[in-house]
Amino acid sequence: MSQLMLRIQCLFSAITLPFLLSAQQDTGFSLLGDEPAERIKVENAFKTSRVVNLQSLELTDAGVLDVKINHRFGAVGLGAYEAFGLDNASVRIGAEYGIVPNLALNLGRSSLNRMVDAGLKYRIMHQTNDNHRPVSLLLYVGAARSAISTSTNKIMDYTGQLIIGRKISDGLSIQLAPSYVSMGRGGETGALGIAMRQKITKRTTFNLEYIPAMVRPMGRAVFRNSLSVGVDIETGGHVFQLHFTNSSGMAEPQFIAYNTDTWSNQGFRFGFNISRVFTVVDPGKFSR
Amino acid sequence: MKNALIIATCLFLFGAVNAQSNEADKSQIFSTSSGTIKFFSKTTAENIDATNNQVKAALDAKTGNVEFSVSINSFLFKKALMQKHFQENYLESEKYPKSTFKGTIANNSVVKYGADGKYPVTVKGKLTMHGVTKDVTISGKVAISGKKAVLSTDFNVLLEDYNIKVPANNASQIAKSIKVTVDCSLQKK
Repeated sequence: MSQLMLRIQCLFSAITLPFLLSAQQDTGFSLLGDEPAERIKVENAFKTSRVVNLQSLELTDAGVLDVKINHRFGAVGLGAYEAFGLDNASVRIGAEYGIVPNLALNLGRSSLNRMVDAGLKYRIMHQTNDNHRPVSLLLYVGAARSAISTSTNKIMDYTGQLIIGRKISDGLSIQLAPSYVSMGRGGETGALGIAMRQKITKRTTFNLEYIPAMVRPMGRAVFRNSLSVGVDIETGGHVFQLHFTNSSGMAEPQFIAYNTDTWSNQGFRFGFNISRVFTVVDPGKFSR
Repeated sequence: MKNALIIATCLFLFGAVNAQSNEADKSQIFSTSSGTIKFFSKTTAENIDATNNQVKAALDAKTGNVEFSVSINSFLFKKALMQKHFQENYLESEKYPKSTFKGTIANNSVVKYGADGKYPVTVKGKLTMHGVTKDVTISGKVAISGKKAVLSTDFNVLLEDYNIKVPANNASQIAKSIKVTVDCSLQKK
């Protein structure tokens, strides 16, 4: 009798055990095998295409229009009577459009010297997650011209700039931007832009940029290197950039070669950039 | 002696069944690396959809084991900015580049892999996304035609289950529950 019981028990467990095990979802199998690590382009080194004034490692996507409304107020040192600079504003209204992947057109009009600027930004190399390409490299070439009708001003300034940098971690990105400006009013200069951003939260970052001239801009009696600190705040379709800077000009030659304000004498000013992107062409139209 | 024999038989039976479930007979495997997974977020403010046509999937006809692997960055959106935010802020694809599913067709015996037809199935397994793994049970279909097995299903995923946080000021644009549609045509090797 007991042997029969044992046999039944045994049979029962032989039947139920495998089912009990399968109910635990044995996912030890591997049908796809070990997949090789995928090579992915490292994106989002900065929240937008500018650090503050300086071109960043980011480029407007193909088919996307990025409208940028930028303000620089008067120097904080102007005091309470001028509302610490808020009574005066220098404005640049600009737009960037991604023509094809890795190439964007920049246009802008600044109130300072009534300057019109245009440029092309091209991504030569894109950092990858596996360090096959350890850095991103971009080229910016631009021209700017003042519309003030004096004979000396109606000459083009040209800018050539390389932007090389790396997103080191999810939060930290750094870049160098060796720049050359040919000044229409005579002279030229070379500068080395240095910039970084550190995420504070997922959607806010701290940004710093410094653009020391390696060669003092020729023919400039007064010249100061541009230094800006700020934060980026990303909301749905906007990026708000709030900063303090000693540069009231926002077109490349203005902050690289023609800047005259200081930080030390309370010449720094508050400013903001608002970036709003619009999808003009369905991204599916570009093979990405 | 008799007892020992019975125990040995039991162990053998158990072992045999167990071994069978782990064994992958190569001739019974259907697979693809170009399956499609879409998702859809519906709110009154905005509809968001994205498509991934590079889904890797495999099915073992003998055991009913299925496996899916999806590269998060391969989801294409209608707006580049959405794709950026999806990657950087929501799925954090640099930290979690892949989403996977591993499971087993619970009623695999109803699927006649040799005969053309549509078979409703229930799949139980583990869905991993955004670094979080959850046990899920999904109903779907296996459609056999010749050497092809088409796996199709749709199911809903709750963002909070996978620790995907939507900030308050975007909550009106992104649904709490996202509809996922799977359509993968697998080929027998």
